Amino acid sequence: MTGAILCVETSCDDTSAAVVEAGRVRSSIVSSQNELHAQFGGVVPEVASRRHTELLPTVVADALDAAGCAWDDVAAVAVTTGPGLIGSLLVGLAAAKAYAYARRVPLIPVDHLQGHIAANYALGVEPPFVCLVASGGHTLLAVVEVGVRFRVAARTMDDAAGEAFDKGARLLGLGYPGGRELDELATRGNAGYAPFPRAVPHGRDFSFSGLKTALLYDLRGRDAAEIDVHRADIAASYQGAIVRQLVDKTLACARDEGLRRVALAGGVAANSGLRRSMTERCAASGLELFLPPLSLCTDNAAMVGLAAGHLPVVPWPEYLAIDAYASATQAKAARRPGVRRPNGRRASH
Amino acid sequence: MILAVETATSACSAAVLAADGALVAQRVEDEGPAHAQRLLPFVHEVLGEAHLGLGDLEAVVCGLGPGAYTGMRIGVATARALAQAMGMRLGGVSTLAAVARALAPDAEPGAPLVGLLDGKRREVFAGVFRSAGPAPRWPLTEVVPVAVVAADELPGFLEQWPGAVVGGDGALLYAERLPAGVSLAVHTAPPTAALVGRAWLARVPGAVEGFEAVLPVYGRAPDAARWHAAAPAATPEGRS
Ligand SMILES: [Zn+2]
Repeated sequence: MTGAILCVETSCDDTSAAVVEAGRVRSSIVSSQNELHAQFGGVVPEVASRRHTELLPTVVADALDAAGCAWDDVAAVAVTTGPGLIGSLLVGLAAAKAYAYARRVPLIPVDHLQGHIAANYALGVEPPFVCLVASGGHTLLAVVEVGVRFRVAARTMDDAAGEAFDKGARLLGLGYPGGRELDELATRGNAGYAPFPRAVPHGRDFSFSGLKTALLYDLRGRDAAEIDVHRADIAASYQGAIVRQLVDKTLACARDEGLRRVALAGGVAANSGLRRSMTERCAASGLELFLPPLSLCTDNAAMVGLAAGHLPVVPWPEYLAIDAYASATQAKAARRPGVRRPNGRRASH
Repeated sequence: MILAVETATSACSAAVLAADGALVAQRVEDEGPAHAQRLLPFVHEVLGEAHLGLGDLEAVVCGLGPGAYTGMRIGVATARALAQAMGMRLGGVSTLAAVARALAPDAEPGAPLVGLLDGKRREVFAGVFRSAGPAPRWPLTEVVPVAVVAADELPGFLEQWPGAVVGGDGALLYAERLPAGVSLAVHTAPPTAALVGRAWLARVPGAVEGFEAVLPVYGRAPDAARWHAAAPAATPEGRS
């Protein structure tokens, strides 16, 4: 694929567009809806879909402007087709198909997880490598074999890591989404203060629901004054337990797979505790670590363009009937628009 | 020539119309909610049948609903993107007004024209207009742009408008609830892109233009916002 790729990503609550050319990010615009959803204490799919519909043309115009790109320069359009909130995905996909159709250029459908992984190509990583993808919707270890083709070596048995951070933040009274606030608070605390369970009985897989319950019981066992004084210590201990599990299992996976390169992806990769611990432990184990900048960890359209360079191009106008899919299992047979994830969970960081 | 699309009901349609409202080509299919897969193929087909490219068009116009939210957004997002990428005029019109205008030839001058669109969960979106002139423009005046009426209250709602002609998919769905004296015109169920295009060309009330204005008419706040307004402390769990 040569020429500028206009990229669209609306899988959850961030409306984003970017221009990527030859693996280089020329512009990346993200319009976050965090404040809009904060009043509800979580992402409300219908509210997110409404907002994407309003914002997308402006965000796309801004991305083209920032890249100094005219519509005539757009050589292809790349778009996230899933997994995510189906109503949100459909807004971005309908627009992306229409952009590509109008400009008579090809479309490149991109899987959201492949996008997160491909953020590391901005750093020049070479496959094979193991990538920890951790966000509010996903937590898995991907063994990336070539391009954005990957095999899932481990996944979460229950909550996603980002959910564990957000729910912990809520229990600690830090508001919504709270993961970032928890991270900030934790930097001022003593991670050895409260003992949270270390072992998880799932082999390679992740599990976070027990940790969240442990935090709940820990807080119930303390009076309000003690919590006030030690909130940062409790936050640091809780974050430490999540990070320990993420790092332990990532390193174990690299060892088992015989891989020397480790990469991070997804909104949780913005967590400072995880970045620090992963850096130290990889260095100690002689592993090469790739840490994308924060702007490429949280949901963004640039990563969609970075993945697009490794994916097949669908020529004009063969993509007009392409559909979105809510979950990976529906990726091939996504023929039921309007289906919601039953638990209404966030589909990304 | 304009391109019109309509996706606010279970039907999906696209049409090319001449500036006088004459239909050049149209696709309509009423087979459930897979608008994402059908809308652009229909656009491509009607343009092909009309031997036109997007660059030959003066405007792209979409039905704004109210109706099924996901379908409305697919139509509106598609129209906005086509207009943006081509630097083309962007129009929109209330689907209720488009239905009402199509009822005018069946009504006495001045008679109430009521569009009814299925709002799911036993509710119907209603728009009330009056016929305000003859063919070919069939101008309308607006009485109630959009109301949400519970299916059980539909007879009472319609009794306020004696002699009304009603249409739209909601009229067909609740046909057995229509009070005496109200007549049903079935040709507006489902509403099509042709009705939308003609209503916009005739500048009925509810016809708008430009990116600021061409957005879905939802008729209701999102559920979460309504729960939140009713009981801010009782925000539903499990949404994080
Ligand atoms: Zn994500």
